[in-house]
Amino acid sequence: MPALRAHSSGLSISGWLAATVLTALLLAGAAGLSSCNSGEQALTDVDPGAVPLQPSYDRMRTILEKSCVPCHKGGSEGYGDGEDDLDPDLETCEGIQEAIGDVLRVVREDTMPPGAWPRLTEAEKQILFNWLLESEGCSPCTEPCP
Amino acid sequence: MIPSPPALPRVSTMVVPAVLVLGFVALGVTVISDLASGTPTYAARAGRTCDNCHLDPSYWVNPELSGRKCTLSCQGCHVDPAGGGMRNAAGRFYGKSTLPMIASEPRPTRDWDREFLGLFYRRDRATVYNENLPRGPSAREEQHEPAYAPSDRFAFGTPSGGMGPHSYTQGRYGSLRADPRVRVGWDVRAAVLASLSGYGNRTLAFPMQADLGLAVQPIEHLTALFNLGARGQSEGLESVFDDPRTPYLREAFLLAHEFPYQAYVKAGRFTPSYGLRLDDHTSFIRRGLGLDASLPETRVTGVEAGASPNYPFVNLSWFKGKREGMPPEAFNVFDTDAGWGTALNVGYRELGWAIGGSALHRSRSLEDGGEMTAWGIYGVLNPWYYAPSLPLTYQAEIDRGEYRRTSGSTAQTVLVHQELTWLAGNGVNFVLAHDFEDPDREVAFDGAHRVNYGVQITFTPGLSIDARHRILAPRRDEAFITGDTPSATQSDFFIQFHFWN
Repeated sequence: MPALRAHSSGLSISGWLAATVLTALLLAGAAGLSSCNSGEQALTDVDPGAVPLQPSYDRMRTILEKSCVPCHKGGSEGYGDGEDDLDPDLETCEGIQEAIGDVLRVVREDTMPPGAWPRLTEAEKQILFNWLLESEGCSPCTEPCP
Repeated sequence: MIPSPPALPRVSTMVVPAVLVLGFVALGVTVISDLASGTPTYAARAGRTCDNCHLDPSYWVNPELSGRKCTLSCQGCHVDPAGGGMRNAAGRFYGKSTLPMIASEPRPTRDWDREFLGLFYRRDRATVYNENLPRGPSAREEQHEPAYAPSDRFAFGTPSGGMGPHSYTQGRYGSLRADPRVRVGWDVRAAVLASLSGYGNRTLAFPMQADLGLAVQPIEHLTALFNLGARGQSEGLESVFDDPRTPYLREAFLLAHEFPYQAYVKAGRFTPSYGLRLDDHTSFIRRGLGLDASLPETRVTGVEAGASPNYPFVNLSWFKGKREGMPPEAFNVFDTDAGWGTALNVGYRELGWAIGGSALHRSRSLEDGGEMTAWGIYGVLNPWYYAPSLPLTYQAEIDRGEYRRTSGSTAQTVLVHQELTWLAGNGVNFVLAHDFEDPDREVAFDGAHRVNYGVQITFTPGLSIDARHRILAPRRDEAFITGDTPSATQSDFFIQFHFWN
């Protein structure tokens, strides 16, 4: 049976060496970059204007829809009565207003979204926080949303 | 007869995989990073033998460089030269002969005895298991002989003008129609996600993707590709139907192709060619650069040109796009924001290794997302090419980027992806992958590592299952932690069912 090989460019040995060096460089680069520490400051210290001080309801809700609503919609009866393991309703403004404190806590702990779901960015967390502090309610904004 | 590369010392064939595995393990121990399988892996390992992309070519006339179809670039397997979605004749052949446990086109000779755990030992009906290999026409002039007539349920007709000198040669891809007038394909994915969270476990079953592709080549060299997609929703099937932007045209472009050196030009809606085009849309190197394939707004409208003369490749595009969170109109490919972008993907894909570099720039107003620039390098090593006893493939990509925060100030990002795969047997592929992101280099507590490991099983052509355990380790601010706060390092099991054609 003939040994089947694709077109060879004659670079096999040098190619092998190049591949080894390339791999070592990539591994070293990936390891080096991965182990680098990030910055030392909070986003609001790096750039106080990085997120709006009074984010709109729409802006805040977009974040929740992406990261929270897939699981937390409808809600559990009795949520807010101090019971554990109950779901907030993050589909409605009333539900969000009731739960925003808990939402902020778990996203800042980086325990939600769960599992290997991507966590919120620092900017997204800050938008939720600013909305909690400076909320002007649930009115949809007109474009462009702050 | 095509010459084989010289045999290499046995020791050297062992050193690199050992270094790879040790390096990977060391990194995994140092850190503790979503699904990171990638179809680029298929391309990377395809160089080990010829007859995984087409029939045994031992007696074929070796074409001039300008006429070669042999490439490990995306267009080697996909209708879209930048990769993803509908497969061409070679890609379909690979999916029927090489990927599955049970092949429906002749399996590569080197894989005849690579059944996983001895399952289905030499049971492919399409494989002869002797020296009477089907070979197809030795020269293009023979392709119209009756012996090579296609028998293909998903590709029909011949473009007006007939098959050109640079179209795929009929008969070299088994019974598949090499250069059809009409081709139909699909990619449907459903998933089950079980989160292992500190605040209670969750299990979600949801549709991920439902794409129906149509490629029409009315005349030779000119193809119109339409890929109609339903946007997957983790809330469930009902949400998919409630989504006003589903279905929508994921891709819709005119493609001028089948020219010398595999040169092409396309115009319409597409995804810019940048880096390793992983099918894991949540990988940091895709999501972090606005290339998340699940989001309609990552599609752009523009022009792309490229070529792939055997081993080198280049893809260059100019486009207009939409900002994050603002999907374009479903069927209006001209629905774009102000501003423009450009992307370059260039490199060299040898049979056992590859290196590439990419650059991406988006010029737009702050309201539309702001200026953004990224560049990256990537590489691939396929030890299997050098040593049949090492069915391993390694690939990695490192990206740096600059973007504007909402205020207009500049932020820098670093993204890393690396992946080691072991094809333990026909249709059974074990994966170990690591991702790292630091979205803003100046900001504390925003980086994350993600590791995932698992297995991809392709039972038959058109059906694959991918099961992973994924671990995410974000770097969090301990100031928000109390005594009973669960660990930030959490994991989930993710199982994906993929139906494709």
